[in-house]
Amino acid sequence: MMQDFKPRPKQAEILAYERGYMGIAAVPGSGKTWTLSRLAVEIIRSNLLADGQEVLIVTLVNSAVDNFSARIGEFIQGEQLMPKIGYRVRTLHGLAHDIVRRRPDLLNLDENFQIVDEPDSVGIVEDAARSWLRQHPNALDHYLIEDVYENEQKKENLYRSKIHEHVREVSWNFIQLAKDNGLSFGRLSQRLEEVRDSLPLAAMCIDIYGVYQRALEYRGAVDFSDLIRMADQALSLDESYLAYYRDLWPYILEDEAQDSSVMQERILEKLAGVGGNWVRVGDPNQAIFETFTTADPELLRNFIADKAGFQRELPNSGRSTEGIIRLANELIRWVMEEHPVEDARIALSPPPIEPTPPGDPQPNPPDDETYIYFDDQERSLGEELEFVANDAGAWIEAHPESTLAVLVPAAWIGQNLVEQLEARDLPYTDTLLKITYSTRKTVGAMTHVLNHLANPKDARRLANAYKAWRRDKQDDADTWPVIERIAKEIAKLPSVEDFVWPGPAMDALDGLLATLEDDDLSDELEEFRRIVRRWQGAVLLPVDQLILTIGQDLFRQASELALVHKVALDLRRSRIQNEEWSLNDTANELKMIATRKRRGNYTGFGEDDREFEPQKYAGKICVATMHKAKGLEWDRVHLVGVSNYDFPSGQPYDYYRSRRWFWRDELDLQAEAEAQLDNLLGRTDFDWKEEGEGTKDAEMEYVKERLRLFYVGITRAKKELVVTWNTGNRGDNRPAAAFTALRTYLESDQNDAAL
Amino acid sequence: MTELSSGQLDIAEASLDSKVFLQGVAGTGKTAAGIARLQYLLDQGVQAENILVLVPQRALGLPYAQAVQEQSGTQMIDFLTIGGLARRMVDLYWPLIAEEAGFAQPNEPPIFLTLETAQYYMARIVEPKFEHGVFESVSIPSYRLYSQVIDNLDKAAGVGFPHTEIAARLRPADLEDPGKARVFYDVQSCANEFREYCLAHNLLDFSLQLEVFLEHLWSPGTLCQEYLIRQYTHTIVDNLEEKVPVAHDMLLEWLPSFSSALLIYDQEAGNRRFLGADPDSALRLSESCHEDIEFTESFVMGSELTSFSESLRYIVLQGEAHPPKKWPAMHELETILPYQHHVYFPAMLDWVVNEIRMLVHDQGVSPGEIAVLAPYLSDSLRYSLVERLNNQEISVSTHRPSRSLSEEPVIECLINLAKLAHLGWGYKPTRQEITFMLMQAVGELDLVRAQLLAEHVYGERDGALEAFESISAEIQERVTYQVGERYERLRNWLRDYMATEEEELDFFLSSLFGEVLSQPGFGFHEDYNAGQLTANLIESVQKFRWIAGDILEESERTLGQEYIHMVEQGVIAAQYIGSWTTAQDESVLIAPAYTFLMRNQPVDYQFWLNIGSTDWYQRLYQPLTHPEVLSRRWPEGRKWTMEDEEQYARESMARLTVGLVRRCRKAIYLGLSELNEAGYEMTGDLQKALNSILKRAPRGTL
Repeated sequence: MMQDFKPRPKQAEILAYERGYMGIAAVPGSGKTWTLSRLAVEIIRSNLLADGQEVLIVTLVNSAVDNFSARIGEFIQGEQLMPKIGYRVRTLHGLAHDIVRRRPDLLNLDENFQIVDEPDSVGIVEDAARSWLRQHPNALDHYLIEDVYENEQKKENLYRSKIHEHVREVSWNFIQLAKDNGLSFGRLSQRLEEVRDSLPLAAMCIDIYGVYQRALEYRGAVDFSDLIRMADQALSLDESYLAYYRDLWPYILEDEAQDSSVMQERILEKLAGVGGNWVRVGDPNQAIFETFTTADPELLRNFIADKAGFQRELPNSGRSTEGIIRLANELIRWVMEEHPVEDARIALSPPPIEPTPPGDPQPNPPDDETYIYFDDQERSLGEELEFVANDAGAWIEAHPESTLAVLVPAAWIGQNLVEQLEARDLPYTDTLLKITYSTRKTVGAMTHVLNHLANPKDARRLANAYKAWRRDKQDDADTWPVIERIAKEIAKLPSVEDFVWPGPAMDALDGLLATLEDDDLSDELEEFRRIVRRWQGAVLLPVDQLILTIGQDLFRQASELALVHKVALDLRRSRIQNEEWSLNDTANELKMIATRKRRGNYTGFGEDDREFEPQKYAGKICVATMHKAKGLEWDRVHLVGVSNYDFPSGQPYDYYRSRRWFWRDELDLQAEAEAQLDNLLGRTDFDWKEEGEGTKDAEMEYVKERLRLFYVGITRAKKELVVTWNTGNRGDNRPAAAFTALRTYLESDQNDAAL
Repeated sequence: MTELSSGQLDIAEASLDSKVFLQGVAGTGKTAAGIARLQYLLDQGVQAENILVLVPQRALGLPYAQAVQEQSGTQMIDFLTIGGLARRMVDLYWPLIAEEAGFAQPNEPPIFLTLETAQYYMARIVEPKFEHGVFESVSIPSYRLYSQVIDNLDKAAGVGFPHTEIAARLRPADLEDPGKARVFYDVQSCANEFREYCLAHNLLDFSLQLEVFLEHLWSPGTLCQEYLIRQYTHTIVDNLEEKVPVAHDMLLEWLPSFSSALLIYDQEAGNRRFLGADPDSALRLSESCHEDIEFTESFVMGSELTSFSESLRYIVLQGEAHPPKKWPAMHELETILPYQHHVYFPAMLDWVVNEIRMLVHDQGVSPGEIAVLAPYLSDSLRYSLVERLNNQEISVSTHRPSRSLSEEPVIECLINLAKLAHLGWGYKPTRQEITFMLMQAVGELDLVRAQLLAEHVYGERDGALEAFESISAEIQERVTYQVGERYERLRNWLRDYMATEEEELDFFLSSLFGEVLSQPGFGFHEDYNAGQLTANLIESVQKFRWIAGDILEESERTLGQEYIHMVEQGVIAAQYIGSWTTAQDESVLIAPAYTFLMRNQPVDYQFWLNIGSTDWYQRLYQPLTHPEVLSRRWPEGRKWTMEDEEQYARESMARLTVGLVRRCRKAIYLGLSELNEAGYEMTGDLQKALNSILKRAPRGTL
């Protein structure tokens, strides 16, 4: 079907690309993934690649990697004889991993170097921060508000309860930022020597950085930021290495370039080289991942304006009704022209969204289906969620074939809403809220099988292993009860061996079939018996190999397999440290991971990287954060909590999440630490940031990013949009400035007519 | 005797004063000509003891040994490796050279070290240094670290440079990184210290055997050289390209003294380059021969596989090889290169097994004509395949020579039995270990019944095994009386052994295997793999016994105690390099691709697994050594760049894959899954190369 799709004129302009730097500004719903996939296909088809060369596609998240791969695979089906030839889709991490993995020795890494994931890395910083605070017990006193500063007891409590955690957070972000800027501990500590006293926060973070880095070296590990830094380093260290990759990837296509970090831009620029081929697509208006990173939509804007030999736009979007499009465009206009703070006016920029041209195969929904409601009633958070639950519930019951999302500014608000929905017995999905869901499920399934192997004569454990093996049928209303029934009967087996390894006289399978009164289940039980025998035979293997062997029968998804691989390696390490470990101990260790009692090494790793498809959840209320909703669309969208707390506008009455009540002068210590890092990097005295300036800058960045987040939220709606706000914990929040502006716009007579 | 071509006959029957350099790619009948030559020499009345057959690995001499045995029955031929020759001579002439070679105890006999016993001593030298920050900036398992330092010494000896120059050669001239420079310094100091230790204790690792032989015994006018020249008047050297340069140097000097010589050179091979083999150096010998003959006709491949091998070589080497005479057509590829695309790894395994099932059961192909090959064969992969094939009632043999012995379940079973029989050593197996031991030792015992049995007969506290009769009738019935009877036989044997005087560990293992485990009703009965592994373990213990005397005295441990201690520390048996013997005829071989190549026995069908993997061409990165930088080809101080890396990778892949094709008669099945075992997407260069060939294939009638 896709193959017959005729590109729009603006898409066709892009597909005519042959070489050079091209920058594309796209709008939400303009089909940039489609266009970029199609462009990759055109390059592969047009014989621009020599044997072995690949189009490199870099995107932001794992789900997009799969999406690209699937699309390109679909387009070129039958043209390449083997799959995945001629292109490679990677996230920046994946790309860095490929680059480093090819020559670990260049970077003094062992062949089997380990990668520490984010939760592990946070854990190491936490230990380092704790020990730093023990050695410098009063180091942050002069940042405390007077009330605390003067009260020893209060101070002590605060250090224990809040400050240590905050220090961990500040220093972790600082370290990542330093690494993203290519700054090693050695280099920073050298510079620090002369100015240590005047930069206390930077000094603290750099000390912790040193301890953290030593801990990584001890483990023979690198973290994600190191991986990227090292990839960049490897490309600079050895010209021949860079030449190799330039030859391998003569074309680089970059999606979601608005969220590109300084390092990503640097690596890709190196890979593309002067006169190379680099296409960057993005929507600077949707840059929402910038906080505490070096990502900046200005990078893409500058690229389009200054570096790109070709500037293109993808302004047409068939996603929303024209009413919704007008509203989104009004937000751009208002921000650019009327935002109360001048500095924030660059948060959004043209091009505005245009509907698809007449005759387009993806026409916009009819405008008469537009429904937009900005509810200005003052409510507490609880009341707002109640209102939304009722309103969304009524709507979804009336429109069981349609899709609806409630988008919240933070995951915990989503969880509160889920409680409301459950209380009303409303159909919902919170898949997008639960990023660790599949991790627990994967590890949990493995635990059941290991439990069985640790005590194979226990029939209940065998029954649990059976359910784990069949867990993908859990959502199947027809099959799952049958599986439950089989499991129940397995659990009653008096001697497991007569089922798994029957002798000539007795086969417990016959008995099971008789009890179940269903001979059709014979194949199912035979198959299970075969699998169990395989698992039982594998107990003699080293533990990691045992886990991998079981994993092959239990899991299919790439993320699950990757998680199992990681678990296997970790268990091998644990086993080496605990020689006496039995399978039971191993199963217990896994159980700890599954129930997250072991420090969260695994959260996020097995993040469900399958693409979320809203259409599959028609008739259900989808609860998600606004961030997670990026790239998705629903018939009706509720935006919750659009107040000045989550969407401040740089006004004196605004409150910022980053502020902690116990720091004086409303300082944001994170931002102050960053400012001190800037100062350390040897800018002139003129550039020296005084205390407080960092906080102000960070708040302004936040104001801009939240405006873009609001824009992302609005543009998720195909036909209907409901926006609400609440008064917050302290009861003094007010509607966000942008909320009020759009509401006023909607209320104007002219626009009423249009709606 | 198989029929020979005229070319082969010419070689075999060349005059008794001829010196022939025979070259050709794999499968062109060079070794067959070599064997025929050997037989001809014997036919002509040359005495077997005057013929020297040099091979790179003893196992490669087996076809020669078999041929001689078939022909003459009793005559013994010397099949030697260069290391074997060196060792034999050092042993023979030890009293004459020990002192001048710098050994501290020239009146005491020499102690020859194997790779693992060398590791054992290296560990003793390096381990105490860890505390002082030696090797601080590298993080690799310690046994890999020891083996890489030893590897450097071996390279110095094989390439022919003083071992004191290792660091200087490894270190590129423009190295700025102080961490890396420190690593090379540490490598050098450990190598030096190891050498000093060896000299002080009469220990000779491979490098020292070679150096002592070449410097002190292979010099003009020495008794040894005179002896060798007098003794061997004829030589056949097979796989000349797999030998180290100093071996070539020696042969260059020796060649004029032989009456006849046949030097066989496998073009496009050099599979042991990572061990110091130097094919370029080998070519020097062709000029010293009277004739340089090339075989070009394959006795193995048909025309389609020939076209495919040429195309593969051409594509992989990116035009640096001759273009194929003919690109294989699509309909030909469909016959010789069946493949199916799978997203997931287990689905690919199922496909492989199903295809093998059809070949064996439907088409009557002998399982011995099928080889399943992967660039890297993990335990999990091996197990998954063996289990699936066994379910199809297809017998399987696997071979992984560089496998860590200590991780083999069979070895764990034997070690646990040894612990049970020697409770005085202070090791008590856990109940789980006993369960797993019983599962393997007692024939047809499954995990469930093994656990039942272990729970009821084994006391973890005292390490004693109770009688089967002592457990309840219900449990006896569940475990089955047949198992009970076998268990009793094992228990009684152990009990009887414990009642007599303790034997050395290798003797104990040997009796245990011979008297119990290999008997009908026990787990190792007719289990080729278990038998082979037991033999390897016994050999490993034996060699350890020969060298460990002084240390045992020092540590006040018995041989068995120290050996098990070292196994558990990962020092011994961590990298046991056993050599293969002939595999079973009627079973599918599962092996790493390189192992199959070195085995040099063609089959009808090959299955290549994980063709997307980068392991088909990426070298093993060893931070402490570098096979190419230490070779003679490498200009001192030059930096190893990505171009070198790529060139090396291309050549390795061409050698490996084309070498495999040349050892295939009918078809190669390609196992292809998008995601590997670990869920990572893999599209390596082999897959790309195969895709190119498929794309270029002329589409004729299908």
